[in-house]
Amino acid sequence: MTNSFHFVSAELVLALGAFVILMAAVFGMERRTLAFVALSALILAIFRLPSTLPLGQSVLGGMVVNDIFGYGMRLFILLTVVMVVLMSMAYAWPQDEDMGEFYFFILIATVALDLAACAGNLAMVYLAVETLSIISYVLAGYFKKDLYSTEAGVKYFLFGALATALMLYGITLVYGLYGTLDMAHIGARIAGGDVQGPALVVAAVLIMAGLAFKASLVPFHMWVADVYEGAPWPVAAFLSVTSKALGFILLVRIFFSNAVVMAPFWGCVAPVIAILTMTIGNMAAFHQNSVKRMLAFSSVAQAGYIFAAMALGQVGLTAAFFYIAVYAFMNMGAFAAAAFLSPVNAQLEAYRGLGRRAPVMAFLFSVFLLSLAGLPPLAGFLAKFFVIWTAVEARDYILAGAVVLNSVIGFFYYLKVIKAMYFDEQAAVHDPRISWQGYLLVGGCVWGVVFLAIHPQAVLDILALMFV
Amino acid sequence: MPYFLTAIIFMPLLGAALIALIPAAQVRSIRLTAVAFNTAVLAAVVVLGLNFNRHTGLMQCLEDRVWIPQAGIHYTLGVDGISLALVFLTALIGLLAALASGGIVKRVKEYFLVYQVLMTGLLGTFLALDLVLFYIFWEAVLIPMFFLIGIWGGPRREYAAWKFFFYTLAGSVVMLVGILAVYFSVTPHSFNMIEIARSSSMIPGGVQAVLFLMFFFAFAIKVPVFPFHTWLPDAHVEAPTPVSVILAGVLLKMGTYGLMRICVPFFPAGAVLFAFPLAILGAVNLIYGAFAAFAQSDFKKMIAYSSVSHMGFVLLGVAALNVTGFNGALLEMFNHGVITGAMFLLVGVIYDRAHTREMSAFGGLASVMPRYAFFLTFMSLASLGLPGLSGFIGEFLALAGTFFRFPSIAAVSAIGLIALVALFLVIIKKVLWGKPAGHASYPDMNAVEISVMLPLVALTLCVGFYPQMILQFQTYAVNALVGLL
Repeated sequence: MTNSFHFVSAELVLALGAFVILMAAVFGMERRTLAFVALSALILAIFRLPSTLPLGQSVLGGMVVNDIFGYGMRLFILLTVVMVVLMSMAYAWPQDEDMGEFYFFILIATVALDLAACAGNLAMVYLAVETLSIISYVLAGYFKKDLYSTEAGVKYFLFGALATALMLYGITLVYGLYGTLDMAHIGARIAGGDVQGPALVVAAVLIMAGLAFKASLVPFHMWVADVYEGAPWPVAAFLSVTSKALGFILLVRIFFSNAVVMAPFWGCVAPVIAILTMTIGNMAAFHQNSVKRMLAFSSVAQAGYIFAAMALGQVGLTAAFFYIAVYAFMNMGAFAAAAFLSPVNAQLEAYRGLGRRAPVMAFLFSVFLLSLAGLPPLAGFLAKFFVIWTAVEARDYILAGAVVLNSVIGFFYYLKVIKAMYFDEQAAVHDPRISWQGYLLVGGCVWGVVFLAIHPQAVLDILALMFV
Repeated sequence: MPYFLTAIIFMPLLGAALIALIPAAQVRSIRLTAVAFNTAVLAAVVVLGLNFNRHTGLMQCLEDRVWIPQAGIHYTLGVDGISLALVFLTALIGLLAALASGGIVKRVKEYFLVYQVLMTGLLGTFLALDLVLFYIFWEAVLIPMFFLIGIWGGPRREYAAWKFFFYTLAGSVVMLVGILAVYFSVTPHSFNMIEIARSSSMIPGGVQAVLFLMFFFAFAIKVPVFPFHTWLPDAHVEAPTPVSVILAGVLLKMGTYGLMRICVPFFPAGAVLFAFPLAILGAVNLIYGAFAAFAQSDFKKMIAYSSVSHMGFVLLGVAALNVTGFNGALLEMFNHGVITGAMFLLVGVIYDRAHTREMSAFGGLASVMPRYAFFLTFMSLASLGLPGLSGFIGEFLALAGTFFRFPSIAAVSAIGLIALVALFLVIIKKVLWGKPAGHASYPDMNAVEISVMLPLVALTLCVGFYPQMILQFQTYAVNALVGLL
């Protein structure tokens, strides 16, 4: 029991922080102060993480597994949420929608994310994903007076409810087949030859649908543009980085421990999904006039690159998670810079001439966009390079070629924004004002994009421990 | 000297960091900083040349550090006879173009920031000896050039910038796949360019042919080889003068350098297989470029097409696959950088005064601007290959090399040679001679413009009379390269 307590102590800190925030918000404490409470809770949680050590013990009755992968992913989740909170502090909230409960939702979502990342039982997967989903619906529709935001919330809810229902159905099928929801048991039985034919494949497809929705893989990507567009910028960043990463984390948790049974199914379906995701994401991003929608589709395309590495099986996991690490920095940075440069109007015209009005932030925004495009020597290039490298090593030349061609298309629309900021004459008259939290966040992200380019070892070494 | 090459490559970037700290209003100090850093780079390269061992074909000043062990990527730099002249050319043209950037008055700080990043990319491309590092520097040139054309260019700058960017990008992603394919086809897997050249015989002939084409595609766009040349006139016409100088003087050499550094030594079987088509492309470039230049009415476009033509000599020299041809190709690369760089500077001089580049608007300038007339005549003669000036030597060697291997192609190429002579004589006639076309009030070249021209004139003259000045550095490297075939 002590172990279990130590294991969840980080999450307990977060939950405690969440309820403090909720109470304080009820008594009218303003958002800025609450943000600091949330930030402190997150940082405290990060420092509580090592109490999970030593790894390997079974905790919470087997509902979660205490392994290095889960440990690393919890750290990743906490760090990205710190970024989201920093972004929300620097973001210019509309006066009439400025509410402190935001941080309550964010912290509870983090608890769910943490537990999902360590899930050892399908019931835990479902509970955590459902908690995260419900909170995400609320967050997407956070601006009550804004029609777009409301639309985003409803749309996200409708799609999300369907996806989680499919996943739940898949999970019940698995339970019917094996009489247990413990993933280690199921994995052992599958590895032992107890493969339940087509029923298991159907269950796998259904579970995958639920996760593909979170990771925004085609054909479960339809919600992305509308939801991101309507949602507040920090929420869009949260959905595109943390929530998306969870989809990939759970894919590893559920499918890669049972790689034996997934092999035929995975090998023929996953590459197709990967190629479709990056191509459709890129094609759609190409035509957008709104920077926010463009970034939304770009995040679909990026998910395609990540999934391309995972489609190669176990050998691709290092490339996939290196990509996720880099993606977290560059995408968070891009969303933050875009939000700070033009908080209300996300249309491309609003960004015209910002290269002169806000030279530092516009320059950093360009760095993030170029990194997303995969321009050397930024980390985004190395991330793509590893994906292509792994694909060529696995002799999957089609996948490698698809990533290469798609990264060319990507350049078009990323450069379009840079062009607007630097080539075009001034259109907007607003001077973006950016607080220190904003510079801290964007500075941290640009550090990540540059540091991981110069010293990718830092992440690769950790990944080598996770995926031996 | 440990990390000497690293210092050379990143010195311009250091300059950029310093420029970033200077307030944008202090244009003068920004210009001075840029010039100072480019002078320092040139000085460092001269020191490099003085310490260069001319009696070996091996890489010198090697730097090798593991960068990403999982993927076998190293940070490897080195210089040999093939790259030394180009590094010197880059540093020299880089300094002169920075000096000639006086005409840039819009967003000066950003201009020099981007300019300095471009210089780092160019120097790195010529000094990198790890394929991934090479690719990184190669790509790092793209975005600065995109900005330089797109922000400081002429009326159709955006179109030209996009065209330049996507032509080059299309080539380089194919090269990226090629780089990975090379890595996995040599054992032990390696990105090290020295080791790949050494173990190239391990790659089967068919694979060599495919890989040769993949890399050639990227380099052909950069050179540019007909029919991938259409970005060049657009980019040149729209780019401001100093950027045109860099573009013609240095950027095109990335392509031909790639041919000699990667295509020939890595895939000797492919090179032998494709030598004949390559020679044909060279002849086409030579003839087509010269005739296309004739058809232009825009002074700058004429020079741009004459660049395409001159690059034909380099291609012929490479296709010859012998010592004479390689020597000619390398020397022509250097000479073309000097001469055409100077020609673009001269176009800029007249454009600054006339604000037009239409040939019909000039005429009779010899009487108004005698100094300008001298420089334009001198450089035109060098460009058309007058014996005694540097252009002749490179062209002669390249053609002589071709003659040994493909006499018929060398003979046909003579048509291009004649067309080039005619082209530059026509340029001299239309610009300098005849009746002054109305506006006789242009001031002659000022001290800055002349001081930028003088080193180029001196080099053209010295190399013309004493080609050993450049050739002595490359002899052993070229012999080593031919030895691989």
